Amino acid sequence: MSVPVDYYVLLSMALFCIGLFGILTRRNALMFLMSVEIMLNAANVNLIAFAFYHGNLTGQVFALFTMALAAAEVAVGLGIILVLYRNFRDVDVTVPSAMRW
Amino acid sequence: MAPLIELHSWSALAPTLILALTGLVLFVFDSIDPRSTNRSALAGISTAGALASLGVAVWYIVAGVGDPTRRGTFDLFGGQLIVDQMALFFMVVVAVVTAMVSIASYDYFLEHAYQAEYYSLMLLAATGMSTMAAANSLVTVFIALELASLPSFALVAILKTNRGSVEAGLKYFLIGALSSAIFVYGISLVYGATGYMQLEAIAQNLEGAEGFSGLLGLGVVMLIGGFAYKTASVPFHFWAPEAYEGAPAPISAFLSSASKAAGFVIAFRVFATAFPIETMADIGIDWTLAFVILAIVTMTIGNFAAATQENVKRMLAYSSVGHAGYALIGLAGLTGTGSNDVVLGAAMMHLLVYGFMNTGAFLFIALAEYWGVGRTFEDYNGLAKQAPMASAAMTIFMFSLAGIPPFGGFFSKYFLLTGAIDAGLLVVAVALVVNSALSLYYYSRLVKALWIEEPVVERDSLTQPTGLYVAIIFAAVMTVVILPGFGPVADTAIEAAAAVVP
Amino acid sequence: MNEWIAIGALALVGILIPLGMMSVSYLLRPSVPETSKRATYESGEVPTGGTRIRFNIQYYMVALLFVVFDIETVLLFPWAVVYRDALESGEVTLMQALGPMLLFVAILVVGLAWAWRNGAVQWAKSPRQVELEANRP
Repeated sequence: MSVPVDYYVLLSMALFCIGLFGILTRRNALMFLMSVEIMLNAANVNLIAFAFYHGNLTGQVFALFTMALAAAEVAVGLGIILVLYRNFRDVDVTVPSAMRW
Repeated sequence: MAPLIELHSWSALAPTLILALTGLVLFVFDSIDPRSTNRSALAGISTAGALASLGVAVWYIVAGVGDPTRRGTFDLFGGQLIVDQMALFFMVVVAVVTAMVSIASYDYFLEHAYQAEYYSLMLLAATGMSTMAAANSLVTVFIALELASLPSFALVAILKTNRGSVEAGLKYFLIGALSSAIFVYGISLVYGATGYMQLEAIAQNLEGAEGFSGLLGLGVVMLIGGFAYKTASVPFHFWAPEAYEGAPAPISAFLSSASKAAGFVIAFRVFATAFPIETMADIGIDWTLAFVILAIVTMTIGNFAAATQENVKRMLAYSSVGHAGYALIGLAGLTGTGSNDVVLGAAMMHLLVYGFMNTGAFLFIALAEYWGVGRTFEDYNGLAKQAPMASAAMTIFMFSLAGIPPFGGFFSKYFLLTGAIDAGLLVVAVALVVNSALSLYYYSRLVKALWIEEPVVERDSLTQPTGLYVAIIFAAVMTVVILPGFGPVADTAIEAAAAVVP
Repeated sequence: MNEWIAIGALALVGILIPLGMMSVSYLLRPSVPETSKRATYESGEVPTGGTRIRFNIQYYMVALLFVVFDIETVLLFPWAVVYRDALESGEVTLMQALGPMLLFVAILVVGLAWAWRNGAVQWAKSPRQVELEANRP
């Protein structure tokens, strides 16, 4: 017995919405980064479930690429957050607001 | 015509591979001598690499690579990458912008501590943009997009002790990370509905996706979100003014020209190839309507916001949002009623001309920052008396951006206008004309400040940094020269567009 | 009978056992409040300072390098899956199968060499080292 693909999509949508909620409510840059990671992993759940559903491996291999890119993104993001802290003594994303539209 | 040399199919990607190789050479150079601040060598290597890439790409176009009747398109890795005329066209745009920016950076980053890092990150980002031009599958689209984005985040924040630069880098990164998460989720939904990532395969399997039209529609909307970020158009445009204002000016030039063009090429290719409008309309997803709305809103917001700015760099940033709106007409016009190839080709031409005039304009800002004259319109007053050559170039850029007849910007806008009218999009055509008229106001305001106003404070005499001047004059010459050369450019663009649209 | 009932029962038992053990120990144990029980645990040493201290930046650099290079192995995985089959099918030569991966690793080595030469894996200097370097002519 296998779980129908609908449930995986529901799971991934729930994860995606949790991540989106985190992005919209959190002010800590690190929390923001974690929320983005949750959203990326929601996509991974989808990709792997659909790869199983369609019976081809494209989705699984792409999920591996997504993981690698997510790690690279975190590396760059942490670097930027580090210089942010050095300049503003804070990792709150609402503190740097010298430029306004 | 018999081919001169038989090419291995790998070598079709040479413009991209040269950029990647140059980036690695810069890394090796920096590994051998980590503390080196040998600016001439570093800027020289990266400029040479960009020019080599440009030369190869132009040679390929002339030799007929990608032309179906001559040497044909090159499919690489089972159709994951494709080298056709459109790919080569945008490889040219990316390479020429990279070359101009790296020459200009020689002077701009005079006392910067991270020279080698700067140039290698720029070449890696250029590699990503060049790959975006050739990407023919959602997998390669995403990987290339990230390869272009990640170095760009670091480049925007490269002035580590400058609060503006760090703030810009943070905002650019936050929006970028969010939109890439949305984009990859969109990819997963499209994959779920069709079962394929390769663009032609998606198009062939759309009929089977009837039961999944909800997933597919959501996926397409999310993909549009990702493209909107990369091209700085509504609804993900709000990073652009922040990032362009805070970033070092050569990087603003690089991002607003090359990165935007690369974002458009993947949007063109994905929507024209993978989601043919007739099939999508049958399923009930009419994406041209979305682009019609986005085009109008983007150009209006961009131009109105630009008109209210006091800061010149920020004005240019918003004008860059406005130009993204003009280029979006290329997608909005693919309704199938008009001549699809003309309107898409017009958007491609506009991005090429924009590559010269906008890069030049931002490099003039770089020159002003190099002189330290200040940021607002008032600070630019009377610069023409002290630096007539650069000011004349800037005047050319401004009038060309506004779309005044004797310059390149006029022609591409004219093609866009006729394309929009052809496709029956009168509203878009009217919006284009109204916005162009409005843009003339704020562009000519800067020209007036340069030539007519008297300086507010006395300045010392201004130096003439060679690298920046070379890049600016080259951009100005190209903006003018492209006019007599517009025939072949237009033919190439329309031919390339015709090969992509069904 | 539905299989899910068994899973539900297992989950119930899994929750009840630890809860039961905790409540039994709560009922049986004597209560002896003492300050040293609440102190930060530092391997039996007398704790010095709070737990929320700033770590050396070098930990971060090494961790970051680790994350990036560790994740790169993920990209070796699909290649490793098809490698043997590709060779046995006889359609590709050894160089065609191995070459791309060698190129990939070579690019990573360039990155690692760059990070090494730029001091990313160099641990912060001890005061003694700093002194020695200062005394060197």
